Amino acid sequence: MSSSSSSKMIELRSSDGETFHVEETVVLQSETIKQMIDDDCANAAIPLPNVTSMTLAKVIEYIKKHAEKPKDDDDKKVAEEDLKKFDAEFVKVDQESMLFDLVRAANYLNIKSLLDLTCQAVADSIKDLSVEEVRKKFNIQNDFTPEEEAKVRKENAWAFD
Amino acid sequence: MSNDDLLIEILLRLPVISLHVIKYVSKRWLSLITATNITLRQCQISKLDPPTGFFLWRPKRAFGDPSIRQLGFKYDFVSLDTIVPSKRSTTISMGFEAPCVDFLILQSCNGLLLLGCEHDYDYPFKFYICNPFLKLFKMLPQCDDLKLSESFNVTGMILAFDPTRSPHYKVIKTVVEHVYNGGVLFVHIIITLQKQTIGVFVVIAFLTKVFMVLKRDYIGITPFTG
Repeated sequence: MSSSSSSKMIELRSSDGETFHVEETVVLQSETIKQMIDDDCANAAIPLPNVTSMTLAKVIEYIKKHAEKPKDDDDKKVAEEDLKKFDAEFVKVDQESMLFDLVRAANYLNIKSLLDLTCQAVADSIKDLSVEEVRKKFNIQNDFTPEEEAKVRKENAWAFD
Repeated sequence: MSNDDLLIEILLRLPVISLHVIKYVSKRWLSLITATNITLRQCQISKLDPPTGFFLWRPKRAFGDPSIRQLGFKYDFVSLDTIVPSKRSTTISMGFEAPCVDFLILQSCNGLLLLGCEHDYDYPFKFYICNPFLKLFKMLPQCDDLKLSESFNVTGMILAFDPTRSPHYKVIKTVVEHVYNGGVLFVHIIITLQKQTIGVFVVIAFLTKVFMVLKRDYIGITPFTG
């Protein structure tokens, strides 16, 4: 506990005005915030106008878990396994929109490992879908006319169609 | 996902075959997915797509029959994936850009194909790397980059890809020379990777029994006289 009490705390404010206190060492995983701290812009609460409190709470849960340092090599292996399990559970969100929010937040905060994790989770969720199902999931209107669609399908068929 | 960059980040992580299926979602998706740089960027992400299916070659006639060439090489595509159907008796149709009509699939490697093709029926094969998704071709350099005697034959080309080591595909080529000398067969094998020789083997065989395999460090290509 001594390390956490001695570490500097950074205050983050979500788009809906909620504030979160996070240790500086943890929050440095965000390149965006790291830059702000380096530029000495982090003396007051850092406003994050693109991130809601619900999303920010999830992001903080993620970076806290990923900031844990294993004590020795034996511990390291266990910790790696543990982290994998954590990541797998982390992207099992109830609402699909939450996953998209996390992708946006990871991008905005520039946390590469979280961006990789969440983008892969979205990719996994659409890889077996049909065109129609993808349109529905992303709420996309088909902007091809039937003739156009037939034409592009012909032009863009892969070599074995 | 209204942001193109983020959508691309997601698309990059899809197996190639899924991209092929879902590219007709909208005009925007089609233009993002068919942009050539997406393939380049995909290679930078360490992932191997699971196999989508097999191509089973179905020769119509006996091998060597010239009528096969006129028919083109036909394949049955046996799908392992629910999103693409199996297909009987398909040929590789590469469109107008194709340098050759008769392709023989030699190998598939994480989405790319290694194809052999006989131009004007002259042997040896010319080898192509093909992206069947974008219908892009690249002919591999012929073996005259190595100044070898005519008795050397290119016997094998292998595509290799290990995303954990490099985002680039590699081509490994085996060149073999057979020399008979007094009933003893000397086989001189040179294996090259991207124009660099990585191994030289000399196999000495008597009738059907191999009785010596020598591995030499590559110093220089010396004509093997047996």
